[in-house]
Amino acid sequence: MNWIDWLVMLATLIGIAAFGIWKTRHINSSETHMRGSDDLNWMVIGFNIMATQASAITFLSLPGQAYEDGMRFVQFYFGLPLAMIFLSIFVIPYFYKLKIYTAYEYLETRFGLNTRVFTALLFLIQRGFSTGLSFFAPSIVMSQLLGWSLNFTILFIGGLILAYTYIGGYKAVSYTQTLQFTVIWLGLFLAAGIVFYQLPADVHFVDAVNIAGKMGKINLVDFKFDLSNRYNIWSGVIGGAFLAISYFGTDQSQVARYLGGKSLTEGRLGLMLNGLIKVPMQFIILGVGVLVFVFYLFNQAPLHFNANNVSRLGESAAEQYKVLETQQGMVFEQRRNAVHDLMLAMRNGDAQKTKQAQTEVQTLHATELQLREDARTLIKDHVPDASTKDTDYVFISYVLQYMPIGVIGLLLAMILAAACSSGASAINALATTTVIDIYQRLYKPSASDQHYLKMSKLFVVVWSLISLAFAFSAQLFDNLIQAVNIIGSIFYGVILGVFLAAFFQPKVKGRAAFLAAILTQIIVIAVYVMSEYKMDLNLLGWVIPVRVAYLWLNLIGCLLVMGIAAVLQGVMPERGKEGVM
Amino acid sequence: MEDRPPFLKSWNQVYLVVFFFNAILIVFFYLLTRLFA
Repeated sequence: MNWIDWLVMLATLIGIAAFGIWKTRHINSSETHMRGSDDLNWMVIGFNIMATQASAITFLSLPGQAYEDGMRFVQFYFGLPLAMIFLSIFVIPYFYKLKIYTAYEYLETRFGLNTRVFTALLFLIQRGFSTGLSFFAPSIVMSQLLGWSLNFTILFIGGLILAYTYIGGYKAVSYTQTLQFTVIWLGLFLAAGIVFYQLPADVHFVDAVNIAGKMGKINLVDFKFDLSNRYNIWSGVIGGAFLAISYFGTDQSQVARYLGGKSLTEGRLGLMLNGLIKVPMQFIILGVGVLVFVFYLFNQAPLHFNANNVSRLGESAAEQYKVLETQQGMVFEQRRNAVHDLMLAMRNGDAQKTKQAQTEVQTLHATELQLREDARTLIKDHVPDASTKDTDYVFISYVLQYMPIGVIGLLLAMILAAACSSGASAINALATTTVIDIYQRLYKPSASDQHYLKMSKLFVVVWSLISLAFAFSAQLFDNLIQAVNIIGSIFYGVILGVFLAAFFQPKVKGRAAFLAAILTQIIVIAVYVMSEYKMDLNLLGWVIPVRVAYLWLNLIGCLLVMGIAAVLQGVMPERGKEGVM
Repeated sequence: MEDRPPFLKSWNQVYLVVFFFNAILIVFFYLLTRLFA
């Protein structure tokens, strides 16, 4: 990498962190450190919400996913605007009226202390785990590209976040996120513009889209209802809305973003901004992936996108790899000519020739995919510990090979800025929840403001260290992303169920809600364990095989909390004071 | 402080704008899918 790229990347990242530290160097109250000073306008809130959700993996994985699978993933976000409207109508007004620090505080006013503490603990476990991943996952990719050691890369990201989150807390997260989000958009537009510019001169934009369509990449909307198909408009709108309500409504790393608004109006508008921009933003990221795909129809792509895997092959395996590469080169030449024929046939409106050329391109493309698969097998055979899934490397390897000097640095800064923006929100939320919902509420309710400020800073350090420890040990787990998703599915549903019961089941009181939450959590864990180990449930002689895919645990947890709470409330006698531990 | 959106008359209008903007996007995406399949 050129020194100019290093300079651009480091100056952008360190400059943003330094700006956050400088702007917040005088912060000396615990309230400002944990929830800001209620002065954010709607645009900043909207940017912060989007910067929190956009992680490095978004920019590494999504273009690669579009490259392989087309743009259908965009449907996953179709439910998000509905969730924003739902939260704006039903949830934010309560939060603002109570002037709370964390979402879980609200639960005490409704269900009592036990439920508040229980839900806060579930959040801490789940978010603590996944924050470790948000340091680890991009570090694997970036360390290989930058030539840094994995542990150093994790430390670099974690250290940057710790520095400004420690000094400036919430305010520093907000200032830096606004800048990070600007860098993200700048990078995104530059990337889209440059990929398009680098297509051959005789390939117009309509040609590029036409070719991508004929290769099945413009598969944006699928109306066919099919439970086994993960991405169609139904799962996107219904499942996506459900997920977005639980993420934006109950996860403190998001709730904190809109609680820091100047007024309820600003908070609501911030969510609406997210509802307007999110789908087009994901469309552009996936669109970049499709343009990279079209680019590689005219320029030979690497046979395997993770160059690090290839460099680890021994001498004889490297020879075999070269043979595969030569075959790929020949297939590529034939396919390029066929793509050219296809383009001309489409321009001339010749349906028969178009069909003919399309079949030829698809056949040659299938041959190339087989050669890629052969390369993966070769790598797996000779480097058993290598991960051969290379979709996360598609975009970044394109950036490094074809982007101009300076832009490479900016795009790397974009990816790392996204890692920092989501990580910092999480660390800030973890620290605030620990201080407000656990430490202050249970152990030291009436200490001085300076004491809570000190504790807020201390827990920023503690959670950073816990996340770093997870990130360092993450290499020991086989499938980390899946592990984190499973943990999320086990806890998220219960948290959402408690919140929905609070909002929509006015008859349910504290004791019923608390017991329902605990019972459901036990049931969900049992269902997961039984499904994982293929165990059967013996119910008075009835043998029921328990086989539930973990993604369903979210829905099951949520519905069970609400159902059990309603039943318990019906059968349990009223008590004088609810929810005291 | 009164909670009124600065751009439109009521929150319902803001929600309708967000809803229909996305609905139109989805229709546009659907047309793209059909047109370029």
